[in-house]
Amino acid sequence: MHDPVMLLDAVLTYMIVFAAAAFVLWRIFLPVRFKTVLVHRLSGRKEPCAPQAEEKGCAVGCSGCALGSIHKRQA
Amino acid sequence: MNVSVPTLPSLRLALVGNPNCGKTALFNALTGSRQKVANYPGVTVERKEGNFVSPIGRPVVAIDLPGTYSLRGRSPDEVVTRDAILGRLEGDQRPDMLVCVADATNLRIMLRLVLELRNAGIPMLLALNMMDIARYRGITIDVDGLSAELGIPVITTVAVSPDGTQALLQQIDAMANAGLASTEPHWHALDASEVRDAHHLADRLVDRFVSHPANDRDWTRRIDRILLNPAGGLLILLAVLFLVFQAVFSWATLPMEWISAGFDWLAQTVSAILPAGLLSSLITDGVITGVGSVLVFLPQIIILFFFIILLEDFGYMARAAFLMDRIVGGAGLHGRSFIPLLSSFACAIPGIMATRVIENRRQRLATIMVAPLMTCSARIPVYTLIISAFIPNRQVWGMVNLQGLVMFSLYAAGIVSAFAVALVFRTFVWRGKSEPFIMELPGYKRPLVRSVLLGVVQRAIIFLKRAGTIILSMMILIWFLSTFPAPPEGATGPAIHYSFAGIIGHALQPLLAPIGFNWQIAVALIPGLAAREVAVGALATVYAIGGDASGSALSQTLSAQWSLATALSLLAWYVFAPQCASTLGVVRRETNSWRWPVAMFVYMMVLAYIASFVVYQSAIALGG
Repeated sequence: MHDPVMLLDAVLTYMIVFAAAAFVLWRIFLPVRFKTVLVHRLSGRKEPCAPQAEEKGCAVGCSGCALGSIHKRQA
Repeated sequence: MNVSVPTLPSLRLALVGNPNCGKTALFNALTGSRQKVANYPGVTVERKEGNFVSPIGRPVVAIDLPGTYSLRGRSPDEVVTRDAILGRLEGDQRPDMLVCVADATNLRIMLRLVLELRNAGIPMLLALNMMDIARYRGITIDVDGLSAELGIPVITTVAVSPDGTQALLQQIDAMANAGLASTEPHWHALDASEVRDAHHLADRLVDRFVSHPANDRDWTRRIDRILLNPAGGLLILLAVLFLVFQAVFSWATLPMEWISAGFDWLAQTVSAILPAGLLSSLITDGVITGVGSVLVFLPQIIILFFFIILLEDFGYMARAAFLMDRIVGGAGLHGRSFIPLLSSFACAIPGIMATRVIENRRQRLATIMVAPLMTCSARIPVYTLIISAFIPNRQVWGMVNLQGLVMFSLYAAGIVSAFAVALVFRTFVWRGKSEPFIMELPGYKRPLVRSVLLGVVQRAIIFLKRAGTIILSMMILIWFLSTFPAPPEGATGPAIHYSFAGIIGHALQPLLAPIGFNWQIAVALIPGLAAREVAVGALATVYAIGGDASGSALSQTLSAQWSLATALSLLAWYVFAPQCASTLGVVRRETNSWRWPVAMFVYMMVLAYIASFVVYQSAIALGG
């Protein structure tokens, strides 16, 4: 392991594995709310307010009201 | 010299209209977006925004709303439209202008909605879309007369034509320049007599301003006489689906071999360039072998979606919904369930979101719970791998490809099990009467080559993106878990047996032994919960690192290592296997409860285990 080539080989490998683990953690395991707060704080923006309980009582939960399922898209 | 150009104030306009009148096609034409369009109602279930600049330089925010027949908001998607128009969406401005989009070949129902929309208090115009089809069919509309009678501008559009939106853009600018003044909405839910009056008024307007030719050139009715025949129609539907799967297997063979050969070459080249070590193993055994074993199925996904999009654009899928209504209704689902179930063939996530078109709560929940049983595209790599490894590529009954037949049977198994489970839910959990299915059948249209190709390319990009992101990352982690820790001093077995993956696989194997799964399959099933196709890559990596790969193709390795009973058992597992994590997340969001995703996970896991057990034990008993 004292061979510099082998050392570089190991460092690169572990960095790739770490990056993959971080990506899987971010994409699959972290809750959306946590990610939203984190992204906004890191970019210095005020985070959006937390979702509130629905007041209108949709039949089975979210019906795409103001608090959910709205995806703004840029052209 | 700097010339300051005065910035025009931005404008928010909403596209509103009946389902399947071309709102999203118009939205795409205006904004350059690529939202999904199809020739059946209920494709758009949430509101979408896009930006464009009008001919005079005015920034415009366009909002594409789900189709509706009235502002009553009977289903969740219609509630979105009503609330957006009436300004009831929290944190969302009311639109400055409404563009009422009407199918010019079928104006009557839209005119009733236009009459209701006048009470929204927002300046509006009526865009008669699909004018090219109306002209072809000899339908003439007195645009000026209709405009004068309604008191709003009326223009014609062809959303799918390059110049088809010019008149609309000019009218938007003209109205914005003249000043748009909204008033408070004075809409109220119409009672029965008001609805009747509105219908009569719309009828009178059509009688006065729309003339139909004596001989309609539309072929829709003539084609429907054959395709909607109660007996013959179902047989034609089965034949169409059967031919699609035959094509998927027959046409994909050659490109799959090319891709496979490409990845083999890449792996050899990389291992020749890089010195032997961890990085070389990661890239060849983990990344190239793992991701390559999934990417090899791209041709099949492209061919399948080519046919699905072609049939959607032609208008046949709406007929399929109509034909299936009796079967779908027999399972206790709403006729509208067919479209979400159909969408689930691509991916369960849009399918579950599409259940918003279902008004009845119980039927919507039942549809959500069974949508993941429809064969999503992520299962294609798993099915194809096992079929190509264990099912001979030969013709039966003279002309039927056996592999295609097995694939067709797996899809059929998914459909039948979805209906059976729905029936169980509707009988024991969500009892209640089924509501009748009313759907306006769209006219047949010649599929646009550009639209079909765009749809196919989008599906291919989605698949490639998954391969390049989540599948790639998972493959790297599988490689890590299969490589570390290194075997202890004096170890005699293969190194992978001492790795994390080996330890986990061997720990799970006793639980999976009754269904014929070995420890390698146990390892592959875990990342398969994140995304099903990852299981294929995981198998490739585990066998490559373990030194058990007996050929360049994973299918050769599997056919040498597994019994037929194990292969059939794994196929049965993946007919029912619990959905990927993203789907469970969407179920949580759509039902606003953890109860249903947990229930879904449990019932699918139990079904998968029972099905695999029955298949494996039966195959063993029969000598498999």
